[in-house]
Amino acid sequence: MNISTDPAIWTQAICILAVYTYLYKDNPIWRLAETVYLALATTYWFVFYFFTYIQPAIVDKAIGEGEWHYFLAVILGLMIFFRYIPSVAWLARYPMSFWVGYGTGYILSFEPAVWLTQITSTFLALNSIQNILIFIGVLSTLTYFFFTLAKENPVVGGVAEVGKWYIMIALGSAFGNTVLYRWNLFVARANTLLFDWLGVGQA
Amino acid sequence: MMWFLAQEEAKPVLGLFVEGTIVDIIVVLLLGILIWVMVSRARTGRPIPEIKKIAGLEAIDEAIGRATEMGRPVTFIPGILSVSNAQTLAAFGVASHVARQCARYDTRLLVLTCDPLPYAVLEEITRQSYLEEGRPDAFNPDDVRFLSAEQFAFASAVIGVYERERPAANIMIGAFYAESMIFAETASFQGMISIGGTAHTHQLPFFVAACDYALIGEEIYAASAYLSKEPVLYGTVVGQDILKILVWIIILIGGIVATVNPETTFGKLFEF
Repeated sequence: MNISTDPAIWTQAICILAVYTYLYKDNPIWRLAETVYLALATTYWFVFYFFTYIQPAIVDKAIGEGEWHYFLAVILGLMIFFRYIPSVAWLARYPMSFWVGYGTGYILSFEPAVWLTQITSTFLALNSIQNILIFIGVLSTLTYFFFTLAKENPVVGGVAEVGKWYIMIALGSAFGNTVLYRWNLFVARANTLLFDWLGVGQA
Repeated sequence: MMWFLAQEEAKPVLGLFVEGTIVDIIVVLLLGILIWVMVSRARTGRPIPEIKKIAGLEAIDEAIGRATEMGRPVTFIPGILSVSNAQTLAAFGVASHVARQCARYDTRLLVLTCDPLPYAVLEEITRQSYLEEGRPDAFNPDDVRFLSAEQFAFASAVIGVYERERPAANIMIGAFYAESMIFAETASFQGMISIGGTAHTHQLPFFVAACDYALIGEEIYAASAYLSKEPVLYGTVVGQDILKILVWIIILIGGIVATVNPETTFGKLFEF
């Protein structure tokens, strides 16, 4: 064994072990790790947002280059703080409404092109097992998501049942894939502890 | 790496119109008309197709009931994306129902968010729901929490809330990523009744495996209509369902045409 003397490796190892203590139960070491992580993330995102959005928009564009329309976004953004003043709290609904409206409009603008590509990609000649499986899979899965057709109807129910099997097989495959990925993450952490930190197997 | 270095920085352009095909706009207009017709019919009390039972949504009331009996809180997580995501918008509808039920039964509701905008919207939704149930005094703004904008810091904070507040029911509807397994597994470990729903196919397996009830994909979009029975929402889901049936028929025709004539240009009709 050749234990590391690098403070960065020690910090990494202590953090990993602190988080793993949760596997036993909730404890002060885990709570410390959780709080430190939250504090670091909050600080990081505050700085990130400041230099990515606030500084370029207000300092560079609005003030520096005189692009006044950036002030509209600033005003709209600041209006959200009216929620802390009860007498004018209703004003805070405007930026929220703007954002929800923007989100809905964005989805309606860009989603149809994605759906249409998926639809036309399913116009397959049924001349191979793969094409037949895809074709049946799309139609039966779509049937599973018909909310107004009674699944008690033997035809609709039967096709929807096939769709359910397709969904479950796909989810099972995705589950296995991701479990393997998580296992890889654990192996990477074990490597850090055993080899980088403790220097197991090193002279 | 060189490819990235070779790219010029993209410049944002202010614009109101999105480039697309004529078929795109036809689909949007058709969807709009279908929804308008169904909403009008629902509002005037004329018959429209009924939404069939969705087991995962029936379980929400059961979960809140269990939390009420145990005298412990309910947690609601609307995913980790912002309000420009359809799943987050779907989560708002469910949040409203959950808040109403919690207000009605005097059960504490903890709403945990990862993005500042859904946080602000959900605080407003929860406040409004308590008000509509005649319990504005029971609403505690501190129970709607913004924990962190960083995915795994949020995940660790949620686990902290699970440990310290000991909720009896955990409802997760929205856009989730790798943190979904952490939430679902911890909730299961603590014996909470869990209901998870997302349209992210790569996260759905975790909800199916670790939650008591799972809402699969499209079901979360029907959720708020199903729960509230509100005519506008109900008509919207029915209108979308009719469009889905039309799409089903078009795919069937497309498959038959492509099989009969592999050189067909049927698919090109959708590229204008």
